Amino acid sequence: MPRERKERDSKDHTKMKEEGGSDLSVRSRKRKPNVPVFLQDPDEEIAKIDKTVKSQDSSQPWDDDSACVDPCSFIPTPNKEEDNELEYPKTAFQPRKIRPPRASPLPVLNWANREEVWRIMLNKEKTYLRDEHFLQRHPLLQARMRAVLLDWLMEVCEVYKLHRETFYLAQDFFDRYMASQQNIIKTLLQLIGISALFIASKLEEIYPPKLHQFAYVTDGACSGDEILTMELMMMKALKWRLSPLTIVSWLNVYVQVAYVNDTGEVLMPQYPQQVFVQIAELLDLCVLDVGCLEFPYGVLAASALYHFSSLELMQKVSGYQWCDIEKCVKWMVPFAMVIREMGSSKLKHFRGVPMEDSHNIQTHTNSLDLLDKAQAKKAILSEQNRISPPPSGVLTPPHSSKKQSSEQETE
Amino acid sequence: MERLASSDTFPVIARSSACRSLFGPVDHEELGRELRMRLAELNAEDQNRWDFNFQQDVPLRGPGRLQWMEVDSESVPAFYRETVQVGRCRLQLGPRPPPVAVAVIPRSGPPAGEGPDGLEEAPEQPPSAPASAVVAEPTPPATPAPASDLTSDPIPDVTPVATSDSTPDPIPDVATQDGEEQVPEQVSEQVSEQGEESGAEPGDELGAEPVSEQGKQQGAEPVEEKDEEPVEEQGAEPVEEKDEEPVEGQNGELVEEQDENQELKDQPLSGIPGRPAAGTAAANANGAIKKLSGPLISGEPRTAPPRPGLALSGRPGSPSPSGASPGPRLLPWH
Repeated sequence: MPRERKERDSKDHTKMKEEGGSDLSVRSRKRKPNVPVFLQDPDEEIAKIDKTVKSQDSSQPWDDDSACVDPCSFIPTPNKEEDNELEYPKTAFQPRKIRPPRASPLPVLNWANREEVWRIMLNKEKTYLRDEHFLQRHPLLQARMRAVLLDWLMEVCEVYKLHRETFYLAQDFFDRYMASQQNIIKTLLQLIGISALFIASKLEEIYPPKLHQFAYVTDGACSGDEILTMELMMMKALKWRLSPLTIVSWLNVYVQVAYVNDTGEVLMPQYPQQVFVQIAELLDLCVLDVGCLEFPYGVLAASALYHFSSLELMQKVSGYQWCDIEKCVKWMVPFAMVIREMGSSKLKHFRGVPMEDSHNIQTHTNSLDLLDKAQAKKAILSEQNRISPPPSGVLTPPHSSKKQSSEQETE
Repeated sequence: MERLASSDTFPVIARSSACRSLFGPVDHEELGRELRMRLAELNAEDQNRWDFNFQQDVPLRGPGRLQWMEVDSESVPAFYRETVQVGRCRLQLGPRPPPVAVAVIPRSGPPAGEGPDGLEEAPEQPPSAPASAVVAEPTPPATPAPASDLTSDPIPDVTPVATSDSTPDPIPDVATQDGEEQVPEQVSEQVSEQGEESGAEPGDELGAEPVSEQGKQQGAEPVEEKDEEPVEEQGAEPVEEKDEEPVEGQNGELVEEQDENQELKDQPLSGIPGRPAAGTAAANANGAIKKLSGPLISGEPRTAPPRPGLALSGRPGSPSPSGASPGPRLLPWH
């Protein structure tokens, strides 16, 4: 990792920013230590500007409603309305009145104010939104298609030895783009997915695959020129905002805080690689289910960590309380059960990748089969739950309301 | 390089299993038609938004929200007048036909509103200096400044706050210029105008160029699109730097670096380069058109080799025209 990290720093500082843990090292290299500097989050600047743009856009009628809807005029679900309000606060204190922020679990940092860093991380959750009901905008698509696409992207990432961060960036771009469009047909889906991976690779990888290699893995379904055209369309639809804090970045922060020792060394991974891989595999399975779109990335990562540790540890490293993640934990139960039954897979080693970076390379298992098992298990648990409701307060499987969606997904 | 090599020579068996079409055969003719239609829509949106025809590189006439005004090419830094970006190439130009830059003034804003509008641009200028010395990161190039233009019109209340925020920034420049002649003051004013311009050019060009290429000759679309896209991507990066590091103290430090990169001798202008850098996008655009036929000067080649390299490495955070320049040169390294 030292060699890898050094290489990254010299090549492109941008890549480091995308990783929760490594994000901190970028700032330390850019600034002198112990110098008090107010770090302004570029996303905050953009959010303020977007507010103005949004009010401007709302006064202009769109000519072509069927083809595309401006993300600014996108109507959020009731859950997201609150998030939308928080997205453009007039003062820095307003969010605290509406929702008290999570307590910062970060250790003392010698290059930046840890409360400031934490606040910036939390703001990412509010400005990068997806739509849990995006399938309603695309009646010709099925949830299964998203799973097939993401599963294939994982396979491509493993073949090209891309980092987990790259895959999760692509997943974020894909979901956000789909939330901004309407009536996408299935033949366009693979082009959108591979273009998202193309963008993510250029952001995150030191040696991203070439354009023709991306076209090659689609077996003729997408040409290089089509990928370039789609890339531009996606960049415009996403308003060029390409730096979310991904699920795996949150996981990296949590696990790092959990294992940080007294020396205060937080820039290099302090956790066992095997632990990280196990939790990442659970997230790889959960992300295939469209139900994951309901939860913020930080909640998904905290819930996955919970299933491999304890409530106390989860609270300590994430700042969440049980009530914050309870719903997600219950939703994640069938996936966690399937992962446990599969057994822990060994840490894979990739030629050309340093040993200490192996856990960061995206892997691919028979995720679609596991997804089917998880959804079947969900249906069974829902049935049992309906027959004999368990006492409240105890860790319980998903409610029967999930059963219907589960059946639809299975079809 | 080891990973790059291994990536190319990955076992065929593993690759073939991942190499597949997921959702049935694709009608590429129909797909191409849909993509071109969509790009045309995006181009139309940009044209309406900025009152500018990016295919012809000329402002739209008629009563629009924005009015474009030509400014003297001498008011922009020498760097932007010496070379011009054409696709993946960066051509040297002679001094004879001086390029003309285009600045934008919001017409609909009230006379009193112009002042605050100019002041609002000020906060965005200082970051351009530090951005030039820091590795670029992708971010929406059009969003910051365009929104500033929009800010002045629909939300007057925001203006006073922005004005207050921007007040500290101009002071150092003003103090420096007070001891100088009138010329610096004029430059300062032009900087404000060009600041507005910077926001318009990068984002709109990104949206317009592909369509322009397609409109000209369909047969050559693939090749030309490839040439255009990398430039756009590079152009997107500079703006991120500005947003990331607005700290005034650091601006000062990075301004010095920028001075070195530009090799400017006149000290009174040293405080200005950071600002005009953002406002010369149109200068490059117009220079590209008007000076393409200009002859190359034999004397230029001597200074060309070291200067472009130095400038490129030192100015990744500059506006899209110069931001685009590193792209073609970086590609061969990769």
